[in-house]
Amino acid sequence: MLKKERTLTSVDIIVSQSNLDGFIIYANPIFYKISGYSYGKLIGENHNIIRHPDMPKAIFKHLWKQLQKSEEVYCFIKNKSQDKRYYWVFAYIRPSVNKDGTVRNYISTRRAMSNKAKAIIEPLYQQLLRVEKSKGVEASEELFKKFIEQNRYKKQSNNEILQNIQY
Amino acid sequence: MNIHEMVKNIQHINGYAGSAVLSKTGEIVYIDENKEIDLAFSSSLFNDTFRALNEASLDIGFSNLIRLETENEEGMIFLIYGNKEHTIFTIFNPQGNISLAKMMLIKALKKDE
Repeated sequence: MLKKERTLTSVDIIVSQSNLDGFIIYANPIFYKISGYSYGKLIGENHNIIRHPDMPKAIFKHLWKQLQKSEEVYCFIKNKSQDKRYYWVFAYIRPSVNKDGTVRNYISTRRAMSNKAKAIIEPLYQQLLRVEKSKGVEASEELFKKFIEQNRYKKQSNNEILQNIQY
Repeated sequence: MNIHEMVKNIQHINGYAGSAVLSKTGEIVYIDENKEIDLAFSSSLFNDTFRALNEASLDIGFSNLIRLETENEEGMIFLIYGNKEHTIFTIFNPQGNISLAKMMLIKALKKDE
């Protein structure tokens, strides 16, 4: 069981860079501090080393769909640390693009998730996970899309909706 | 005036494009709200490089680094100034007043010591 929460302070910004296959090529000192890995240990690891089992697959599908379109994406993510604790982040992930339009790698900056967002997102993800187990990932994706539509104000983008939830 | 406020003064210099202040352990203690430049990422990488070069300077028997200046093909200037506690990372456009920026950065770090 992953129980105790690690919390990020207001000056903790986790920064990482992954290659196109999802392997970490850069991690800043804050990433090591929060994830509990010793310096250098994250390099060469797949980003799913910090994936928490409470995370619905639908969220990662949404994230990758955006990135594959070379679009930036905001996302709430529950990660696990090496000591089996967890930490919530509000992640901003973007493809780093060459001048010819090809993707170089992916860059992610992650800040503390607000309490306001946690109150909304935690029960949502629990619901998504339940749906995934009973009806499959597609049903969970549909539920997430429905949640986004319910929170859309006028012509807000998905990223703007998630930023509104955070702030 | 603390280091964050002094860095805010640098924002008025001609050609200013963005800045961040980091602690020696990598915490971003100040960062501009900037939608054009990923300052969280760039300042982290430049800070790590600055700190690594500082260690190299000490390892070969020299003193601490105080600045690192780099320029890209388009003439964008990256200025990294640091003391034992903080690193100030700034980006300037090619037409920027770099001399004034350097003076202000030195002043900010001296007051921070």
